[in-house]
Amino acid sequence: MFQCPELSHPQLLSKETLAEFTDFMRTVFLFVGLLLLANLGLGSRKNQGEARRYSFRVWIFGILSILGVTTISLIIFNPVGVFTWNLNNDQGKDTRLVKSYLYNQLNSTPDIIFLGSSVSFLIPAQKYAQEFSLSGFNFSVQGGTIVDYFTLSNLSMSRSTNINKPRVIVIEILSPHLTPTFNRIPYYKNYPVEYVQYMPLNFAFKTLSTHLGSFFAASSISEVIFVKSRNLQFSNSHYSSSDGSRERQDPLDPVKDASYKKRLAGTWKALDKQLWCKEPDPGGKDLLREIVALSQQRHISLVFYRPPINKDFYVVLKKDPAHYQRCANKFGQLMKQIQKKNSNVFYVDLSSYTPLSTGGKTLFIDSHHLNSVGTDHLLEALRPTIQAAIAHARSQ
Amino acid sequence: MSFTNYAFLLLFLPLTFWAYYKLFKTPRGKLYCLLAVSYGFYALAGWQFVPVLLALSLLTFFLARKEWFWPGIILNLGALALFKYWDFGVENLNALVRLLGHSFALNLLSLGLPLGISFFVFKHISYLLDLKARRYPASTDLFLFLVFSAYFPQISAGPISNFKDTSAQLLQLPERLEKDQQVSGIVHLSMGMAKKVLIADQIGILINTSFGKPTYFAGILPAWYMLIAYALQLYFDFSGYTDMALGISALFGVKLPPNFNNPYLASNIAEFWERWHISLSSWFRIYLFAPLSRFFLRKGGPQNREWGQYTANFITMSLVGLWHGASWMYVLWGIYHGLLLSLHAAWKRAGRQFPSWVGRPLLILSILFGWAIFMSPNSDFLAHLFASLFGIAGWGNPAVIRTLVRNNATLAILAGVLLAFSGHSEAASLFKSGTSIPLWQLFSAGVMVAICILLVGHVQNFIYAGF
Repeated sequence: MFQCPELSHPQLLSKETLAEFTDFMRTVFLFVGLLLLANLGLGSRKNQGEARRYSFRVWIFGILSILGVTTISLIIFNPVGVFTWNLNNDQGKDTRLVKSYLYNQLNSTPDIIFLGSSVSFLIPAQKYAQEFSLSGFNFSVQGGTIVDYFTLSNLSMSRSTNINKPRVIVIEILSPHLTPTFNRIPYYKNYPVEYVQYMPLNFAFKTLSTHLGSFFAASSISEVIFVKSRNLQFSNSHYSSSDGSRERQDPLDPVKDASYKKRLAGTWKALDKQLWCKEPDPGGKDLLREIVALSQQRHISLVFYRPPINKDFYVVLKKDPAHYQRCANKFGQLMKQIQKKNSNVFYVDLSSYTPLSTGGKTLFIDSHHLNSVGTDHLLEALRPTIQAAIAHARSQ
Repeated sequence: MSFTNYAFLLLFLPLTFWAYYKLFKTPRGKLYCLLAVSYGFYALAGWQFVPVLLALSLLTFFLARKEWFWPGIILNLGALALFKYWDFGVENLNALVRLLGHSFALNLLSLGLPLGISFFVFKHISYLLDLKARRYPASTDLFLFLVFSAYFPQISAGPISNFKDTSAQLLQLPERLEKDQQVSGIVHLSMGMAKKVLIADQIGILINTSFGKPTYFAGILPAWYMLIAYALQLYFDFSGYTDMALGISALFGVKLPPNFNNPYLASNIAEFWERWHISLSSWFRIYLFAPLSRFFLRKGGPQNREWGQYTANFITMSLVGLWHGASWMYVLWGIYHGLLLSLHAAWKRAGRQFPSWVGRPLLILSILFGWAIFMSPNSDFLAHLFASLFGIAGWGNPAVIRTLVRNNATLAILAGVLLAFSGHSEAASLFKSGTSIPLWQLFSAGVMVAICILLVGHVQNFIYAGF
């Protein structure tokens, strides 16, 4: 946590102070820049004939003297989270950065890797994998899409060896996950620069370009100066445990019924969008096939599952669940085709799996996010498939 | 892709210079390099419009070879009309049809605007008109013409150069750059970037966020603040771009024509147009105003010479206004300048002259009123702005005035005013007096560029690249 003795709520207040400091530093940069411009425009001149042999080098030296120092300090202190070291201010960071950091800390490649969206955040990967005498890591990320699934499976497979490799990758999937920006936010740009090499090429370029923009910025330098001048100890703390899973989120207090209804009402629109009936994105389908091909080459099993949906969602929406089931079947056909062609692929549709979907607030915190008990039920439902997938991987 | 984009400054430009000087040793090789890089630059800005640029360049080249000048001109103008003015025309036509009580409506095309179309189309037209007037022969070198047409330092927003001057240089691209050209290039580039990032964009951040807030334009103090700020933003944005374009081009060994010469130091409106966007005003003077004046002189005879000139002024300036964008406000701005130029011509013809202490402030005021029209998105905004400028809306909201004064834009405005009226606001003016730039100033120019790169995150697009 922050160590800022004068502030009782250091995190929030420091952020505000940092914003003011950044504004101040921008003004300082601007003022210095304008002075240099005035010097260039209005400064004295020498007579013709002065040696200009080194003019270009001197000019480049001027640029590098500033950019060199700032680049080194930005790399070391990593104020904007371009790299996975020296992470700070974890509240503002995307799960991609935090989990990348955690993944890099692992001594060996985990046997079971869970990929997905916020729905999968609570999966206790290590604890669950231990039941099969294996290791596990929860690499689910905020607003996960096929770009994440491709990047992270590519990463885990590329970093593995014949002996030390993941055996099973469990992927939460819905049709819109195949559209890289279905939730309108290009979350993939939050991957650290070390992970860009594992991304699909066009997304890698976009991510690098974003990093370049946030890296060489006055605000980044300001953050370094702010932190160092006040000796603020930003921690490498994170809101995930070492296996990437979030802390347990137990069932909501029944007294807080209003809170549940509010959450339900706050998420049904997003879920409704996620359950659309549109044709899956062709680019996303290609990436899906690439994941499958990669896993085939490396003899790794893939378990895809369609996550459960809270039945109360249909009540709020006043829609027939059958409507969504038709959409689910359409997407399921695609997944079953892939499963049929590839012996290492397993697919389970849990969207209307009764023991889960009828659980209401005992298993869900809103229309589709499970609480810890719900997550345990989900893992139980997946157990036979994961067991089969492990057996398949072992047989290879 | 913009000149102030990180990818351009830190990757595209250094790699291009490296390839240009290290991989290509002959002038022809360098020409091919410039062709590839120019099309690469254009593709990065919007790959879908590459066929438009290529097709128009090829057609212009081959039509010129066949001496089919008018089809070439019509084709280029047609493309400009289609991409830039079609939707504007359709909207107005539909409004007129609705006014007449009919329900018929044409569809908008919403094609988008290819980067720099107003500039490369004008280069093509000047080429065709020059050939028609037998000023020089048609080029037989397709690659040379394609580079002239797509040359990346000037594709986004000019300056509009003519084929004869540019092609002569493109055929003799130097193997190594002379030191003088090198210094000229880096000083132009540094100063252009500083004008854009440190002045224009600091003001731009304020102006862009203020358009949705009526209080920022209400009251005499905020209104004058914003108008002066806009006048400086527009000037430093465009002259900053131009200096960068001239600097980058100089580093390839190609000298482009200047676009600005301290315009706010002009002593009258005619001189202002000789100092502001010089390549465009020269284009219109040579290819439109002069032929129009001759036409009216022929038709009206010497006794109506003045009226012929006034009419030519109005037509030329209206089209200058329309060139800036598909909006009636730009046309109105053009007409306003046509009126100013005609009044100036009449005043001069009558042998009258203002003393400079009256003339200069009057000119600045006239230009500022012109920018009020130029900046207004519609006539309602303009009416409110003028009401505020003349004090009808009071002094202004004190909270807004405080916010404006404390804004970084105020610092940029002060520096902008100092520079604009110093006579040294163009990089070219630093090389005029037979002196050279000392090494320590080149070092500080480098530091200044580094600071600009750090502040680039807040950079706005170049205003003229949108015209």
